[in-house]
Amino acid sequence: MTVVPGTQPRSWRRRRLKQADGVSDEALLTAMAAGDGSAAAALVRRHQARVYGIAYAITDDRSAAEDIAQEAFLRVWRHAAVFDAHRARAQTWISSIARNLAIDFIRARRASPVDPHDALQRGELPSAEPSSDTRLVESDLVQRVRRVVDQLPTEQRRALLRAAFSGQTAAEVAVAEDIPLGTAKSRIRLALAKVRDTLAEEEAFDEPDA
Amino acid sequence: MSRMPDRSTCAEMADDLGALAVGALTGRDRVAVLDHVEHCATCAVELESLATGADALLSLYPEVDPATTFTERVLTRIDGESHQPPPPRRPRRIAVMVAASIAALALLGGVVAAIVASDRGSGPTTVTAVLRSRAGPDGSVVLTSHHGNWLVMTLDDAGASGSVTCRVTLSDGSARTIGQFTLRGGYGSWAVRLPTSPSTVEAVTVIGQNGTVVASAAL
Repeated sequence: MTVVPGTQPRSWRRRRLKQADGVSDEALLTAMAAGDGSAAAALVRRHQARVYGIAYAITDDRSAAEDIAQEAFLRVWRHAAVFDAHRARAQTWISSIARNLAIDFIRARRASPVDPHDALQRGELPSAEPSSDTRLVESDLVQRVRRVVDQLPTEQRRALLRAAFSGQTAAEVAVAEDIPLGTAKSRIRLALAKVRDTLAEEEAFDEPDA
Repeated sequence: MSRMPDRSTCAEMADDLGALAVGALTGRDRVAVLDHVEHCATCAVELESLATGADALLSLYPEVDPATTFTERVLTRIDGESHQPPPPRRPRRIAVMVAASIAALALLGGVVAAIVASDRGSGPTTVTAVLRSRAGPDGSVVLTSHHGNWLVMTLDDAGASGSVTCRVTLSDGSARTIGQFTLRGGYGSWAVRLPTSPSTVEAVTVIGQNGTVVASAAL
């Protein structure tokens, strides 16, 4: 399968991705909420590497990551019936649950999260190469986001990744970067706005002419 | 009556919106920004917009395969919970949570007997309501004017964790942030002095870290 420029989905945030089996995440969530065990199994298998990866990236603890990932899927199951596809993609929703649980864990444990800059240097952030045809469209999003983040000024990238990737508070970012709190907040906001604006511009560029 | 947003405050809080969007604000900073956003449509739109950027960053986390038995363990847990249908369980849980809230009130001053008595006649006001999320009843809230004005709430399985903000809507239409507390695994119990009489409170809302409503109760 080849992605032809100009044919990407119109919204990178709310697009409905269909997987190799032809069933969207949203359809699986609906079936899951109705008690369909096979839908639950399909959803877990589809997202477990991402959910576990998020938990492991934040905690650097395989045992804790397993517990967090399990809990994340239980939350997904409990709240599948109220998932609002108009507000977020299913994958974003599921990922957010895993991220929040992992951050709660490290804050409760008072452990230091993995330094996102170190992770970047070690190449532990995901490869921009798609792992299979079935993930080609999704990988296109990953490529775009990674490229935008890579192009940020270094100090802004570090502040944003500390906050968004590792779950550090603005105050913790300020201490870690040895900068005033206001500067930390400013760097986070400027970086986030650039990510948002660049992705929106690329999406507009991809829009076919009416 | 809702307040008009102060544009100078908007400028001061511009950087806070980014930090809030990625969950990097805590404590009073977070409460202050949420309070402002509630009354300022411009900042609310900007926060929502910045949140789309934060959502995109989630795609950067690496995928890592868990243990081969992971799927089976998750499905076993789901299957176990699926045999405990929520509807029959909820009312009992709510009753327990109301009891927990009243027990918390007792710790504040040993006033349970007085509260119960007051409900039968004139005197201090006590109001109890069920907190509901989109998934259904998730907790309880008790407001009382015994020994001063107090709000006590208990939340369970609220679908959120971490710091949440409690707001009350008053009979004059205004809204006030009355404090923050922490949910752990969706559970939290909390008591705080109310800055107003319980009889003037028409609704209680619990707001999550991204500004979404975790649960609410109409009184």
